[in-house]
Amino acid sequence: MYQPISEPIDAYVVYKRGASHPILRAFRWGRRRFDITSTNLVYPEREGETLFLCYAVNSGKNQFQLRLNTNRSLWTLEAIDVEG
Amino acid sequence: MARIIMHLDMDSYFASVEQQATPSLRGIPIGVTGRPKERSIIVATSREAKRCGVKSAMPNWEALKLCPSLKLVSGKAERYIATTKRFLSILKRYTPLLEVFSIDEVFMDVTQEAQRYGGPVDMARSIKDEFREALGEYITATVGIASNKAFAKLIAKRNKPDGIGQLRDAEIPSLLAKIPVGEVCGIGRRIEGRLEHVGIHTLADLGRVSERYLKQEFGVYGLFLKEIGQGQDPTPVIP
Repeated sequence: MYQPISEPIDAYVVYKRGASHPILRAFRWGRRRFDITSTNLVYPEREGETLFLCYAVNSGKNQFQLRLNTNRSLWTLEAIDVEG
Repeated sequence: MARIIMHLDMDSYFASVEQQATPSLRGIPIGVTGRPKERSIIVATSREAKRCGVKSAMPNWEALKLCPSLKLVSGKAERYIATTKRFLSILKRYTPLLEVFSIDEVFMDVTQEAQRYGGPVDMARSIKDEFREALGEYITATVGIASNKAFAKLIAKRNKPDGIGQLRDAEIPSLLAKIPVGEVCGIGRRIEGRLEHVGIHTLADLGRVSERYLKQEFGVYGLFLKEIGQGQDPTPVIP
């Protein structure tokens, strides 16, 4: 079950040529850095005028949901799967 | 030249997308629902849940009674729409003759293109490989290949999940006697009941009935029934 977090984070991202979305390599939450081991799903979500890109990723066995506000280039850790 | 029609059907679609997004849901029975904690129904089930007998449109409480280990997951439309857009963009590179039948089903007329890939089966393999690369390993599709839409869909259904099935025209006559009328897309429960009432159980039975009788009983729909009973479906793929 996902536990909501909704905290801004620092993200390490690659803008790869030809890719439909930025590739998330790692992020820093608090003092810890999480390296992304698999990007499971990326999908857009719209709230009013703002387009978000939602990322469902794994860092080892930990599962995270993150969101990129494409208007403000702001990354947020949305939720962590506490059972994962 | 006989047409080459492909019917591509995503396997346990909504549930597979959720299992792709959240690896801890993989390999366990899940039911995609509206609101897991309220009175709601199951919208889609994973392969594992299907094995427990859980079906779409079942109330959550009934599904949980049948499969106590069932995990209820709240459906997220954005995920399914985005995944559909992604797989459609892949398919459009294979043929412009593509008809979106539903959010997870597509018909393609690949008569002109199949040979370029070494035949329709190799073409289907290529599509499935691209899907694995672009959508993830858990979102799979089954492809049915035949010379018409009705039989392409039927053969896809018989090769689920994650399969490729081809039905050649020469194989159709011997198959007609084995296919119950209700298995064909377009013959719903009411029509099926009416046909069975007059002793028509299989497609072969349907093919033996006169077109006049079928038109008399079912109106313009009677012609469709007659053609299906003869293994034909001239309906074009409409992009």
